[in-house]
Amino acid sequence: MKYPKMTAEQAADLIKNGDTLSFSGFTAAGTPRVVPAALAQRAEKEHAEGREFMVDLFTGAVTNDGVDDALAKAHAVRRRMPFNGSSVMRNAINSGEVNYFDMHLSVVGQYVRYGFLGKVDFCIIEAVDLNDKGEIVLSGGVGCVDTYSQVAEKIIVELNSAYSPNIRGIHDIYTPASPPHRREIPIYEPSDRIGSPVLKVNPNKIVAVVDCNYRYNVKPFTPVDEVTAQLGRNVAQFLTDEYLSGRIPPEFLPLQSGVGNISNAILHSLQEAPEIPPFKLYTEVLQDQVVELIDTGRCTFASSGSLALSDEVYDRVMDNIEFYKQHIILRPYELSNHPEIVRRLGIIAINTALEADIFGNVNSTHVMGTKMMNGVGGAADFARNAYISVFICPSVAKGGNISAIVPYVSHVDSSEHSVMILVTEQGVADLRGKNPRQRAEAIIENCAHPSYRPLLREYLHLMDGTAGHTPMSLSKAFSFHEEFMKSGDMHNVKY
Amino acid sequence: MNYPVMTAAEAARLISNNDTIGIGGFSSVGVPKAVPAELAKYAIEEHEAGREFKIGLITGGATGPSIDTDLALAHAVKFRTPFQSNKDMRNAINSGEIQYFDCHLSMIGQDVHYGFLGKLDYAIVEASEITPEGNLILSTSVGISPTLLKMADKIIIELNAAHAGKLTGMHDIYIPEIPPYRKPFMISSPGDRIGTIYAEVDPKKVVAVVETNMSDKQAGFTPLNDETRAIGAHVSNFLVNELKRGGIPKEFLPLQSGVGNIANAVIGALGDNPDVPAFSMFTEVIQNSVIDLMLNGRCNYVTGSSLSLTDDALETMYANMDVFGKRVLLRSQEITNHPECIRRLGIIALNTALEADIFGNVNSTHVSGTKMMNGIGGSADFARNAFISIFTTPSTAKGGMISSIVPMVTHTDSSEHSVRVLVTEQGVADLRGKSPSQRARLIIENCAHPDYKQLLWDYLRLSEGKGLHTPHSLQNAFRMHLEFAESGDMRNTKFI
Repeated sequence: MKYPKMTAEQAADLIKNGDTLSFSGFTAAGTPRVVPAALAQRAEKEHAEGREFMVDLFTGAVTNDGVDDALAKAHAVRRRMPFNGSSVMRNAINSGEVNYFDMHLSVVGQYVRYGFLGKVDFCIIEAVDLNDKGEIVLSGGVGCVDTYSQVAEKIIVELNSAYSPNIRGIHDIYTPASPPHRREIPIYEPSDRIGSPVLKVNPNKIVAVVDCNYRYNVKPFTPVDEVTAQLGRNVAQFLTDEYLSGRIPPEFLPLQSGVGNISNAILHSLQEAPEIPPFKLYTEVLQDQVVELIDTGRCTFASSGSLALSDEVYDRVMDNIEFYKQHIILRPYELSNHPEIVRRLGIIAINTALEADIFGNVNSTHVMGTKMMNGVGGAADFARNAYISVFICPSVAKGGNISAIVPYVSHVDSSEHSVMILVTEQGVADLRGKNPRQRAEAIIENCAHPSYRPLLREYLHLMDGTAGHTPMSLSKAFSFHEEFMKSGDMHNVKY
Repeated sequence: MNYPVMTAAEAARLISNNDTIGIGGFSSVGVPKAVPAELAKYAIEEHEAGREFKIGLITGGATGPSIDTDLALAHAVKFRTPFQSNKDMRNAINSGEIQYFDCHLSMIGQDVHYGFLGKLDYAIVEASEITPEGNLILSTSVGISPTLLKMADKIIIELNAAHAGKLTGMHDIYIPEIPPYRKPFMISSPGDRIGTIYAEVDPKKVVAVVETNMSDKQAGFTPLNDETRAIGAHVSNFLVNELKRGGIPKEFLPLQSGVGNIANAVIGALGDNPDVPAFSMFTEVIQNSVIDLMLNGRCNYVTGSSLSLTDDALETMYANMDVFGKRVLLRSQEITNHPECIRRLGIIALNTALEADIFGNVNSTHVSGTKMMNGIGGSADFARNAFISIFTTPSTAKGGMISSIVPMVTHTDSSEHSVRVLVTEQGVADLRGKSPSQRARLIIENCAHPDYKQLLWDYLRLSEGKGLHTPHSLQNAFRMHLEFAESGDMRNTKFI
């Protein structure tokens, strides 16, 4: 191979203070590990010797411990986007050390290509194969690497021998042209392929290839508890009712499902919804449950941006990769989350809320309105454009001391206009066509935990006689949150 | 086609209590006028006779006085969606008499098409011509008329002689299929046609044609003042700088502009700025300023869902069809506002905020969080999917007693993720790539009125440095609004 072979440390030495780095991958899958880990060590050394060393960090989304944990611990990050799942990075973001630009995943690529975020110095790519023409076989995560590799001045490749190059053929890499030259994106159904099976980069930009061997180390999901199981059954029952009533077409529609334990449980409950026909997924991340849905024929095709699978399931997929290539496509998230496609395909979107208010606004990001949890991710891309957008959350948190249903969300990520259905373990509120008062009644009666219903009903009537369209009391809007910060239990609210 | 012709009063009496009515047209033009006025009279008669009479009302957007004034004052409306801008309707909505479903304008057509809003009994649509096959050449707007005609059980047509023969060929009518059979919209520049010049009608459904000859009587715009002129100049300077540094491609990009005086002023300012190349527009509402810009060659193409023009501007257009005939195209709002088209074409979106907060969230709808003003309209369709989304607002209202820049908006219609640039008469804040703390600094310094800068700095400092990504103080977040409610002047705010 014609590229310079280097160790991770040598490659990290190519990076300068103030550079902007971009990474392949989406979740641990496809995300480089050894070069960023070496870079973190280098940053610590530079700092110890009194020199400044900080970089800007653009990733697919969630990464691995070599990226966010290591670089945040080394105080080596100045700006971070677009999504984070690491607790170490989260602390650095909330402390103000790291300027975090939280953004819809569907716009990351175009934001970078349009030049809105400045120049990108390096793109670091995890690959399972690479040739002299600059054709790279990615592994189980794509993210935004199509754009990052186009705009970066230099490319470092981590060639990971832990995973087989036989995955080639599962990817569909395509980047929309920039306006005014952009054309329609010709995906008519989840299985349509429109791009290349390999990532094509300019070979002259590859400044280092680092041989490595590491596994993603993703743990399986925790067993489903009763609350989550009931939530899943409620979603399945709602979709079954919609389908039987004819509001979902007879062919059914592709599903999108968010990330995490609850989403995995929702898919599990669809496994066991006999009236719902076999379906397709058009989503950003595939979790363990999807593999089971494919194995049993419940899911006939899944388009996504990442195989966010536990190690055991990932290996099972790789061992039968030819079979799964017939059922799975991995694309950049500019395609998996694109409003054009989400609205055209008529996606049924199922995403998780951190908290929701009685008028149907959803907070996905900010704890108590101020602390960043992870980021908006792709939730709002799907919710805003879906055929039906469903948000889910358990009705209470912290052993009941927090109600996830509040008078007013402390941050709005998906507004009342994008939230059609709200589901908790208590039940389902269908908000379509309803005004704020009607929505409030549906949410309080169907979704709130019974122990919070009287308080929420009381809030709804605080402004009787003076309120307008949305009966909001500005002085009491955050009384739940303020009470929690004061006494640790939202039940103690007095208006 | 031999459709039954009758008077507006006769047609109105076909409608029954509890029916859901779809009103064709958009933004107060090209809407039916005669039948709704008679329907209001009919409702009053029914009420006087002790009978219930209330209908559900689905429109494209804003309508005319015979709909939102007459029907609201007649207490004849039970349900209203997706947008209104009428004082009487607004009062009925805020009082809780009318159930109002405020909805993104790109979605109302598909909500009807998908059956989410139930059965549609009547479509009442204004047309300028009826083709020999019985299809409709619509009039000065499209709205969601094609979908209403498709989905309604029965159709009442108002055939308006005021536009007879003048608009044929200026519409492009296309109804997207229902998933999973929907196809891409093959629009890659504002003038691409993908549909027919008429809206299709099943002749069996037409129960009445009412012949009219009526103007929409659009109100004129208020003259520019220093504030709107300054906002216009800031926006055009910002866009020129972006163009010069390559942040906007050299071909420039199609513009969308919201509705109202500020929007009209901004488009006027762009037309006057010689460094802005001649541009095209892909927008929802075509206002007066566009007509002037087309006559002097500054705007070379416009597609929208309505010709929201005063009578004299409309006359100018009709008198210069050599200029306008091939440069103006009316589409359904499902297409003009569709995320697919907006993101593909790379629209530069210019919309107005009611208030904005220091972190970049925008309230377009709710005064003090509770009173509905008009509705979200199309602003968030464009902002969410634009190449660059710009929100504009004067920095203060009510003679300075209200700051439009507040610690936290009392309602979020376009979130921090969709608001890329904020402009007031004070200046421009470019929020792209910035964290909340960085955005707050820019907005306070560049956009807030000098009278309020210190107060907003004080708010920011209440929580900064406490390990919070977005440094809010929940107990003080609405203190400025509460102060206004108490003393009538936000400048008196004291944080706790």
